[in-house]
Amino acid sequence: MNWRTFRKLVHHEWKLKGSRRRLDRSHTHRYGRLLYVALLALAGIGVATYFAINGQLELHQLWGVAIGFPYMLVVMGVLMLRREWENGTFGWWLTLPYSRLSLIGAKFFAAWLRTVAVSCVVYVVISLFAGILTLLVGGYSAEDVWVTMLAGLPLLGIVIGFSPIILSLSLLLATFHYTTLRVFSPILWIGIIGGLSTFYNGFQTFLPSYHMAQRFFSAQPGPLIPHLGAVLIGMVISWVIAYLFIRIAAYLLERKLSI
Amino acid sequence: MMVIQPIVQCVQLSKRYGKKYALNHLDLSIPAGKIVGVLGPNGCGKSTLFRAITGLIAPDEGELRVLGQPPGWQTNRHIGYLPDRARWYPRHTALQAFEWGASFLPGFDLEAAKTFAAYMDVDLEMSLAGMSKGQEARVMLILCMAPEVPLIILDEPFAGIDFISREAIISGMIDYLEDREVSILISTHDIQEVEGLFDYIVLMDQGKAIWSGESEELRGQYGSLHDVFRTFYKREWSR
Amino acid sequence: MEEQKIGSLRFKIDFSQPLYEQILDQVRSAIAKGEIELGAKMPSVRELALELRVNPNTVMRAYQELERDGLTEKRRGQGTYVTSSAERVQLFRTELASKYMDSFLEQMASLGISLSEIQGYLSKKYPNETGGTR
Repeated sequence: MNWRTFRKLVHHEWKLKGSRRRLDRSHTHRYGRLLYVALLALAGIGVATYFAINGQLELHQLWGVAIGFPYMLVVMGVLMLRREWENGTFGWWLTLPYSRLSLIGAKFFAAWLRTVAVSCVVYVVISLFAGILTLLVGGYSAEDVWVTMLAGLPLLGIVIGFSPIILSLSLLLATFHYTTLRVFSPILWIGIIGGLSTFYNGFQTFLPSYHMAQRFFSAQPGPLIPHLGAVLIGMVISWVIAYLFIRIAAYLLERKLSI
Repeated sequence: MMVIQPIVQCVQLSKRYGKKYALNHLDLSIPAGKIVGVLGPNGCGKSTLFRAITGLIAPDEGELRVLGQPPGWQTNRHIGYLPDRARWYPRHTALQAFEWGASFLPGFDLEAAKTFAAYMDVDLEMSLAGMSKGQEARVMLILCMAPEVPLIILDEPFAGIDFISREAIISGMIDYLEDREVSILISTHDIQEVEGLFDYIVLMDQGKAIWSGESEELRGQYGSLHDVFRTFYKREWSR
Repeated sequence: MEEQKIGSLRFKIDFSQPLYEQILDQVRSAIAKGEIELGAKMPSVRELALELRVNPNTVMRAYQELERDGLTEKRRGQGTYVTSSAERVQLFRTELASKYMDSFLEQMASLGISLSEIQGYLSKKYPNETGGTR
């Protein structure tokens, strides 16, 4: 397959949203969902504003939203594949005259691009929110805002850098569901949930800290990410593993489909 | 005499799901350039055969050749395939569906697709989510007919479709068939109005081909396909 | 089985019999009987296939056979026309009639039916016509 076709495939996957199952739900149901999301966002903003007014919020704590990213990635990867079955389009998708590796690869790549896009949006929203709080609530300096914005960069960098392994793993797990090896699916899911929790506990030390971002503006600026070298090596290793996961998923789609 | 290789050839082809054979040591050879009706009751192995031909599933035993080659994604560039119970991406318009075809299906003729759409009364700007199943079926059939391919496979193209769409689809197919050297495999359990189209018939039952040959020969021997069904599948009918 | 009218041609297609022969026979007899005029344009293969709901290949094969019969002719880019030669049709008619007659007589012979029995049957069937020698 040439690069142009692959790009078109990625573009097609990128644009694909929603599924027939969700479209078939009643309108009120769909608006209900929208309302739910809006309420959740409002509640978040409300809580943050409340603590800010009482002087109990440090702006960089807004990055706490990043805790939701790994779960979002898992859901995104799974939906990417499940959509073909929910729409009844898997037959079209899987009989395209391109290798299974390019087909699943395009899904993976589109999901990764979405991760980048969502990260950028989150970055802008949190930065704006920090700025607005500073203007309206008071008690924060301009430097607090800059430090917060700076602290967010390496954090989202880590999210984007480590997203391939999570996305590929969730694509792989979603694939298992449609193969003759379906029985292993639950065990693997228990694995991924456990893995994510361990990841959270162990990863704290590698996350960029607010104080490092603060020091960035001082006389002797230090690195933004502790153990940067280890993190980068880990990232590269995770990419290799991500590629393996995608390869396994491609193999399963080629040899083990159960439809 | 020139020997034309069969478009599909199965030798002792088997596929099991659990202990049940979906294809049971199937021997079958389908000549090229025919409109082939693959007929039989539900669960006789029609869809499984088509899925094996398009590389969706891997057979457990036996040999399968499509256009002289083992099936896989490489051979799919020569096949227009309408999957069983297929739907289309609901957010696409008909035109977007055809553009998808133009992007990913080799040899897809976008202009031909638009002509078919006009002939079969498909509104290019209408979204698939707003279409009836019959209208959606027309769009999907066009996706199979618009590429220049030697083999088209339609798995139950008439299932659950209203009368008018059915007529539109049959007309579209007849219109398409003129001046074309193409082989078409059509599976259906509902033969009314289409039986005149077939010039080759494969009767399947329990994962095997119980009869295959020229449809004129079948008519000469057993009468209309309706009678054929009664003769060959008495067991099923009396149940 | 219902009758279908396509232009000045009438068809009665029975899906329990081979289709090619039915189409061929019915067009032949329409031409022989003069139901379709000499030199008239035949429906296109596509038109006929669409109306009869049959494979265009089948219609095409029947049309090729008609051309071999000399009953129709293809004009480049214009379609198929019934021959304008009355003699040709007449010749075909006699040929076909004698062929039918031969097979009829053969069948009668196989039943051991004599000529006088056949004549007796014919004069009963057509009482108003002057049969026999003229």
